[in-house]
Amino acid sequence: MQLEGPRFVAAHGSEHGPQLVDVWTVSVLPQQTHMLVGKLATAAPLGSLQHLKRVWKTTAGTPVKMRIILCRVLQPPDAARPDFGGAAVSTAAEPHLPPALAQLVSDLAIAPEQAAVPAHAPQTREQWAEWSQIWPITWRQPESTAMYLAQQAPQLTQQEQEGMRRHMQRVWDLSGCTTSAAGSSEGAAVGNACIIVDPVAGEAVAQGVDETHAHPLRHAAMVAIDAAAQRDLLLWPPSPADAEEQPAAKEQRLEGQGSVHDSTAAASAHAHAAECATSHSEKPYLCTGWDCYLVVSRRGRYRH
Amino acid sequence: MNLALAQAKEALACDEVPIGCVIVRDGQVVATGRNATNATHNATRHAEMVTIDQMLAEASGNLAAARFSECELYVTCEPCIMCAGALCLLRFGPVHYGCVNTRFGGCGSVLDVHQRGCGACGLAPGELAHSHKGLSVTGGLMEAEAIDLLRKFYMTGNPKAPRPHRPLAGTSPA
Repeated sequence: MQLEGPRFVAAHGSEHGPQLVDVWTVSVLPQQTHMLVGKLATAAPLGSLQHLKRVWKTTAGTPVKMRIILCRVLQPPDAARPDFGGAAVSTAAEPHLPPALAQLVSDLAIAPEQAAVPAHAPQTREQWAEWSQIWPITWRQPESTAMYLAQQAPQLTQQEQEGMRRHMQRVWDLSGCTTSAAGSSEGAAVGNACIIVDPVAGEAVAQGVDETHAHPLRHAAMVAIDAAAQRDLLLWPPSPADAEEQPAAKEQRLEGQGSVHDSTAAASAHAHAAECATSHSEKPYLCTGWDCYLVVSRRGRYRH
Repeated sequence: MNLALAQAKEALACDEVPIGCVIVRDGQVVATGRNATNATHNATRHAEMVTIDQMLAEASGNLAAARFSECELYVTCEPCIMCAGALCLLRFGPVHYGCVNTRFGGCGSVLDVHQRGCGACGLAPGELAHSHKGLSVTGGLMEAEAIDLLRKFYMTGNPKAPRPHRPLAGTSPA
């Protein structure tokens, strides 16, 4: 049996729709569009909003108007760097536009309107279709997803797939979902569970189940990360050299700031760094490079 | 924030990423903490998490006794996505930070967790709305001092990181 291919899972909470950002827009006659868009391209590039169509034709009403994004709604100057203690400053009723745009709008004698538009590019076709209802969006396959689908997925060997299935089975068992799904009403409590796997060794290095009954932030993933850290400390305890050589080396690092000079401190720092490089080269840096398998249970339905 | 900066300086002296945190309730400092990721080998031991744990320990783990919603939190750098989520979950009172966190910030720099709120893991979509509560956040408080500490740390490289983005002072580049 082949594992199901990779598929995009929307971020928690994004089912409520995209994150929105306010922009200033104008509605102009089609013949004004070319001139305006040309000027906007240099005066106000879309920047992080390039997924949005800058111009679209509104079908409602006659004559036909073209709706154009001018720029993001800027906060008033004193809101950019909030004065400590001050209340949050809401957007001014008057458009606060960059000078070049203010002149452009003034020449057109059209009042800008605000609109809330998706702040980020959609990650799936479904999101694109939904978000385009808010403001038209140009569809582009997200690079990261495209690369993953193109490169990573076919590279999974049969052995890797078996390993992945084994790890998922383990975290599934850990969550108590297995017994519950089998219909045993007296099975283990169903809860979130997580294991952390060293993919090179193909072995789980740490695991955790939800402990929020004891601590509000002891989520399964946090418990597992904590367990991985404990294991790390046991396997690679801080060496005494870390404590002993630190002061001179640290002073050098803090005061020397990159200038290399042949002093005792520099030599000491060098020796210390070399030792760190050797002793740390075989150990993982935090959980970097490790895989995480997670089962999140919710009312009899499971996600992983 | 001065107390939070003092915590950050202590972190720097211990070769930790210099970020410090202070929690205030009823005008009194009730907990202080600093980043401890290098010493614990745990990337989640951020200043906010360490400080929250200290408060919870003093309240014997009693969430109600900790009264997080009556607390203000001061931290020298914008809370990351994880910490912003944690603060939302605990329904924290106002949060004040120093400098922005352009790589991991959860209060506007990368994600707007402070506006969207955060539900517990595994909540159904309908339940998220019920538990939704954002954070009141202000930034830029003693920003220069916070940046200065981080610059000092990163100018010389994180000695615990495997291949530092910058070589450690006194060594030739790898």
